Amino acid sequence: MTVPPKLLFASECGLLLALSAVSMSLSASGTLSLAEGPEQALILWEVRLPRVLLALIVGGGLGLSGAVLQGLLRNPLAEPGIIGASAMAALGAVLCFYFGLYAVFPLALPLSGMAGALAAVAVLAMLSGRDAGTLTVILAGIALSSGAGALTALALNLAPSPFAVFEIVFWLMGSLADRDLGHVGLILVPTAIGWIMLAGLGRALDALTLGPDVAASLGFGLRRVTLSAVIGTALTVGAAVSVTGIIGFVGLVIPHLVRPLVGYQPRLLLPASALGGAVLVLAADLTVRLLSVGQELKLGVVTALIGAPFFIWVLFKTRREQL
Amino acid sequence: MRTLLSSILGLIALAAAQPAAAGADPAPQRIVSINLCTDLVLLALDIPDRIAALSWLAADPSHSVAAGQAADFPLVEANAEAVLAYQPDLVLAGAHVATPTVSLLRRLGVRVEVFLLPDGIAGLRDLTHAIGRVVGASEKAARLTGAMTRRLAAFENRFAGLDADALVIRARGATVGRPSPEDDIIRLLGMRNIAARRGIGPWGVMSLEAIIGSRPDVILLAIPDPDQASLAQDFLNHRALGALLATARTAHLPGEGWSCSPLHLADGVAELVGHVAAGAGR
Repeated sequence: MTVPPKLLFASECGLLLALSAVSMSLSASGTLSLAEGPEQALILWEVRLPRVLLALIVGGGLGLSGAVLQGLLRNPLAEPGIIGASAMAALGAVLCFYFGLYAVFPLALPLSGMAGALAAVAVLAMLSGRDAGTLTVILAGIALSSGAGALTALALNLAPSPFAVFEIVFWLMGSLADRDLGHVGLILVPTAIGWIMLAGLGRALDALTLGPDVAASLGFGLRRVTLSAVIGTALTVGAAVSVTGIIGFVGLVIPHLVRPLVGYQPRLLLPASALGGAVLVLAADLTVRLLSVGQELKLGVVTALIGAPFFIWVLFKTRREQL
Repeated sequence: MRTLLSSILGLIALAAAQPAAAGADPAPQRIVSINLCTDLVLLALDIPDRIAALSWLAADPSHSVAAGQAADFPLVEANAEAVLAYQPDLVLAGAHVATPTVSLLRRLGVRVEVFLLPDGIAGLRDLTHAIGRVVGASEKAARLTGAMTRRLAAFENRFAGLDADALVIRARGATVGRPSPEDDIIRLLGMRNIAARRGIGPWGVMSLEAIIGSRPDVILLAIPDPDQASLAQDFLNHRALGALLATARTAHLPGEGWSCSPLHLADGVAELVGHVAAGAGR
């Protein structure tokens, strides 16, 4: 069911604009109002706009990196979390909570998250540089995720009070609430670098569908492609996690939804997934804002509730196709 | 020459007077509180015309001892946009809770005062005075804490004659040591806190063996709502605890949030005293 690319991109952009408009007009009480009163400009530009911008940047990055990793690893179950950068970024943030830096200096939180992500980048670069096998990348990612997960659990275990535990756990669940333009500015540079590294891989991924040897003969070395993909993902997703917490399943779900529409071409899949990821995160965030009564419903929870059943469906579909 | 000197002195006097005049800010008229603890202190200060909104937890009976009183006010969730809708000139928040909301509100130029949650009766007194100062109700705060202190003093050493070891039991073996409001009350009543003796802090756990082995004479149960806390109730049903609960004097600590309400604290202690004085057995 291929859709002409221009039509696809135009519809996705149209959806994005519509959702952004709704998101900018949605007030805290759930009505559509562009905020009356003297604080109107303040609310629009400093409260709602950062939320929309972050949804676009984070969603786009997750969709893009998901599409790249699925193309690189030639595995439909790949998603940005498997390279371990999001777990490491989360660990950096958790340590910031644990040592009380967050209470002293709020921007320390995303900065610690970025430090964790960069540590992951360093480890992955070291490993992918020498031996570019995709198996090595996956194993390195699993090692980083497990290690970071264990240390996060340790921090929760030794937390000084239940309130500290709640603070950490709720942050980990992922949220875009009350982020400001400072957060957007902080992640702009690493995200931009990551996007540039990922977006340029379109043709390489097209070539890879013919197998790594053929791709190498066409001039796309697997080592260089793996390095770009992994480091680009680590920067993009690590920066996102350091500001929002862990938002999962977007990178897994979106490429699958979009792939049939672009005729299974990796090169077109990348921009389509980026746009699709932004649409999904923006729509999920709108849901969060509409459904949060009292306790805030977390964005990561909503994306997981969408993604987990989808994940199971993909598993069944893959099994059926392999018979 | 004299006129020059006097005008210079006059100018200096004028400059010196400015900070004093600027210091007399009018009391905040639209106060929003986004933390249960600050809600309860604010309600106790009895300035209803100046409260714009309280946190949604304040009206939840399973969490707030002043739920009925709080229901008369608008309730707000702890996010920046909802708070801004009330155009507050002062926001009261608790430390370590909703930190992104606090930093965003400050970035938007709203005055936010953050308070550490009290770790005892003295802490509650200080919190009441601090909030009273900030909202411009210092005399009311002083009267409130004075009344609370007087009522609590009436219970001083009430159970000293029992020579009792007391233990607070929360859900699943969690207990409360020092410093904490529970420990302050135990010592006020002339009893000893077993958990504090073992060096346990405000959040600690004692194993079932340790609880039984410590042979408490008085058990204070901090399980807020029997209908909701089923895991906690299961712990109490443990057979090994049965004999202990039958022979010790037990009492429920007052409902949630009591340690943050200068108005209700003394009532809670009075109720507790009644149950402990009633004797042993469930």
